[in-house]
Amino acid sequence: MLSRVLSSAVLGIDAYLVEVEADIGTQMFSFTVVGLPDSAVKESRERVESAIKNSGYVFPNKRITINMAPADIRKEGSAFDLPISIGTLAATEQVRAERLKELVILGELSLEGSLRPIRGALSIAVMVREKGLKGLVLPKENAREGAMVEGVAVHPVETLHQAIQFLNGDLDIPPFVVDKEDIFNQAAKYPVDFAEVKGQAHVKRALEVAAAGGHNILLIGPPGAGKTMLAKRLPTILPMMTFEEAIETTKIHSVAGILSSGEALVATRPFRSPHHTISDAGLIGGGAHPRPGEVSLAHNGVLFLDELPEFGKNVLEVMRQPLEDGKVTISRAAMALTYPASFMMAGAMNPCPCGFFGDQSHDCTCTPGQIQKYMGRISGPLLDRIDIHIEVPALKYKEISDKALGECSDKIRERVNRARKVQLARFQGRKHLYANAQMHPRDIRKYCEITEESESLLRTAMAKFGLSARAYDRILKVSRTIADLEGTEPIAPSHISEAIQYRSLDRNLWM
Amino acid sequence: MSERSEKDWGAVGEAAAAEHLEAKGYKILERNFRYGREGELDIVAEKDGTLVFVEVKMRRSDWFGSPEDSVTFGKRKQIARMARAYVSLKNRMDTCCRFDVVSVLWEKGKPAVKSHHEDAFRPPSQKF
Repeated sequence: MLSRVLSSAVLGIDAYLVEVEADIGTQMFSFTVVGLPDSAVKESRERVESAIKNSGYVFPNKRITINMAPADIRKEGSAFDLPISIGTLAATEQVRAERLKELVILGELSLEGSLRPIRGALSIAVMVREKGLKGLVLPKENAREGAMVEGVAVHPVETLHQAIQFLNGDLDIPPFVVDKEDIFNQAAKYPVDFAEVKGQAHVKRALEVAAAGGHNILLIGPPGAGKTMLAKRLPTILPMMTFEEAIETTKIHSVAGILSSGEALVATRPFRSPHHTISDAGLIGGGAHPRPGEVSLAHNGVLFLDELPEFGKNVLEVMRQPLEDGKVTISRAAMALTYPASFMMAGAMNPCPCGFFGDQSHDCTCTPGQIQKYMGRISGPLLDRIDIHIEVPALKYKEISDKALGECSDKIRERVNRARKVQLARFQGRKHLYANAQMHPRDIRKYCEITEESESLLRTAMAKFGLSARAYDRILKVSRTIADLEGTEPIAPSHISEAIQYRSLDRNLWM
Repeated sequence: MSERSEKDWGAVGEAAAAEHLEAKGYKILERNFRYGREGELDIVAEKDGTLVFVEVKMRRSDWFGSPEDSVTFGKRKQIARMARAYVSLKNRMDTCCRFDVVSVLWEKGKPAVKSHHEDAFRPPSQKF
């Protein structure tokens, strides 16, 4: 007897349809799975047999062959336990076949027959809608996530027995319904806020400018000054995520398996802070079983590289594509996978190896040579990508003990939004250009015209501080953002001089 | 009693098991089936269209654990191999098969069938 059950798997962040066929012959017992199953799928056999028996059904003592089509794509993971069980039972007529034509079924089984959550439920629900299928049978922990897609009926199940009763029509499981708007609003709350940060007005301003124009930013300061704390709050002043952005980010997190149980939507901009010992695959994705890397997990959010000089040289190499194209392509012998990776980059570092160069209360114990070498580690291509450098000094006691709260993120975000609106209007109709940071030299010439006065100020500064041509473009971009924040079209000298402030590293202060 | 050799003990057990099976309505097809050097199938029987390969375990005492436990993984592989050979040879490829274990204990001077485990194990999968 032959049965066919629809299921799904994820490639990159999109799902494709998998047909699970079960053929039961009369020959001696064997259980074979074909269709390039990986180890987890091969182990299904044990879970399927135990789950079926412990749910009170008969596991046939016959030759069982399971095929997972398309047969030339590697199948991974334990989510096929449920469709394989249902297929086996359908082929022995313990489950009726009618509903199997319209429903996509997934779930990991425990030995006693209860269902465990899977990854990628959102991507799979999107595929179900695209294929015009009726609905999904999913473990109940994934139901909220799957239900976020319009037009797909999600039937949550807790045990194999329940799933069988549902498919046989003996148990009604109505589609799981969620209030999308409510979930979106609930999920869009940040756990941190700028109001919690004392003092550091200059740094907050620099972060505001960075957020307003999408500029990458580098925080330089002694240990304990609050660089990490400030960077963590950067997402809270970026424009709120749109529903589409939230869906895209949720897909990526779901596929990576980092959604918490029952979580339906990621609606706050992600903040990812990988340790500097991270591998290439961990950073940009890939590995033996391709998974999204930190750059993709930071998609639509912030990637924070703390202790920037400690990151290996090859980090710059692998980060080039995501920083340039906003996505990452991982090639394998059989195929190429593309993950989205469009993010804002924030870095942090000490001013010198001991950390206390320029600090008022600690002496710096580094030799000029040591400092040179330390600084040399972040030269070149990576620095090229960072438009704003800001020093983060250690706080004085007065500031730390001040009970008054700082300005809250909502207020700062209002100003950022206004500046962003200006940019959207400016770049309307342009592809891949929606914030000042993304401007190329030609765009800078076009949109960043400056007055004579500003020009001469810039010329003087460049001569005095020994700034390079690279710095020139960056200063113009940042001044454009500063002017947008103020709501003025022409770029004034005050905007230029503030932008010049943000080129500390170029000013060779450490020489 | 101790004059009997191991082979005789085995035969005694098998005879008792065969009798037990027939009483239950099984038709005995083979006893001590051998083919090549792979080993031996104690009893091949049939009931209700299912071929049953029975491994008989004879013990003088259950001091060393129950007889069924001694059907090790290696033994199961061997039985499965023989069973496949039987099925192929006798052209019964399309018949359902089952593997049973009958344990026989010697008590009060007589062999007694202590248990008959139907579907005691599934054939371990072939590696090819």
